[in-house]
Amino acid sequence: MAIGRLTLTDDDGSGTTGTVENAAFFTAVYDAIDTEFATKAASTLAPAVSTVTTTGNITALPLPVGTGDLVIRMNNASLATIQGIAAGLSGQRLWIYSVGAGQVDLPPLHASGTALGKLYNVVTVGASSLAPASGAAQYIYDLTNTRWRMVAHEQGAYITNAWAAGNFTGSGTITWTVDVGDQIIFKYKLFGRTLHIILSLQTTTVSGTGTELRIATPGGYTAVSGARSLISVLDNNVAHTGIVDQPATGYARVNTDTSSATNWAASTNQTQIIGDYRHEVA
Amino acid sequence: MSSYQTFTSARVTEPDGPSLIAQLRAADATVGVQHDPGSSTYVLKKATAWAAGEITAAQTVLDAAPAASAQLAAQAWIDQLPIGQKALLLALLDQINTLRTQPSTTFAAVTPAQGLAAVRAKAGTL
Repeated sequence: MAIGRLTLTDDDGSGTTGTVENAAFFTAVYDAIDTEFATKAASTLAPAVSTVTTTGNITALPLPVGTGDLVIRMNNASLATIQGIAAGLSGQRLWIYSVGAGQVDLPPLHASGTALGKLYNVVTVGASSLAPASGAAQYIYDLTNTRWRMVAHEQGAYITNAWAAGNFTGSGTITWTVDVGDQIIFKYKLFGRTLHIILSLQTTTVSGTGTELRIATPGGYTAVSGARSLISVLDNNVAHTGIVDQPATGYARVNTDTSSATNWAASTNQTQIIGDYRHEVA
Repeated sequence: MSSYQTFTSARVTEPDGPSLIAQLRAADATVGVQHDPGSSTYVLKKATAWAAGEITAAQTVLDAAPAASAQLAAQAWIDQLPIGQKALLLALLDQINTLRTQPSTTFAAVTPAQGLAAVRAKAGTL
């Protein structure tokens, strides 16, 4: 917006004659100020923005051109894994938004990422993810260590953990069979270093003897501190309040009741676990 | 190979879970039920492919199974009584049966410690 113009009144009141300044001089000054403001608004006050559609592994994500704040809109159609980002200026801020149909993964200090801009995330094992069209992250460039340091992360929507038979095991001689159609819900969301998991496994089958059904930590994260939550179970179609216990390492352990000492009953399509739990990750 | 079949029931009450399973399993002992309370959708899983007649029969069971009730829930709980509570009940029953078989005998009072020990011993047998 141009600055306000003051009309000068000279000695004779005409605005066109005078002995010291005249209107043309002031007009030139005002124009110079307006030009400077316009330049600043374009180059500094508004972030430089670029849109990226690349999928797969990205070892050095190109930055938009600009000396101020930067915004990258990730419009990838399928998974994009940003292993590194091109170097920024010292203290330069970068926002990454997911606006596409594909998930964006931001793995920490990935070996394949450019040495000028690896990602230093809040979690140190496992990627900080941006759910499709809802996640966002903010980084600041650390010129001393040539890293992008994460200062904010919002995963957006919960992310479904892809089914794998090996995610479900048991203690003792238990074989826990969770078919792909039995995994009604198994999704997670990362809050800082807290991983929250929502689970609904139904019509699963248990054989053998043991007190624990075991669930692998989703998302590639590593549990570092124990946590215990109540969870709803059907043990061979008998309803119980069980517990899910996440020890400092390894898988989550689900017990059929709060004693942690009762064996799971053998069942065919009649073992169910529904609930949620959370724990700290590295 | 497990097979899943989705059903919709117009029933307005939640079925009693144990009754529903018992009726479904009378036809096929591998049937399991996926259902969220309040939903009209039921997904049934069993070990073999669903035949048309099995689908019809299962639909009938879903529509007609007894509604969940406090009484049925209590009976299901009694069927699966936790060991501690079962021991308490059965230890008392032992004492009652002793009295029933020897009604004219005078017995010394059972102390609290003896009572608890009897329950504890009973739990060890269950």
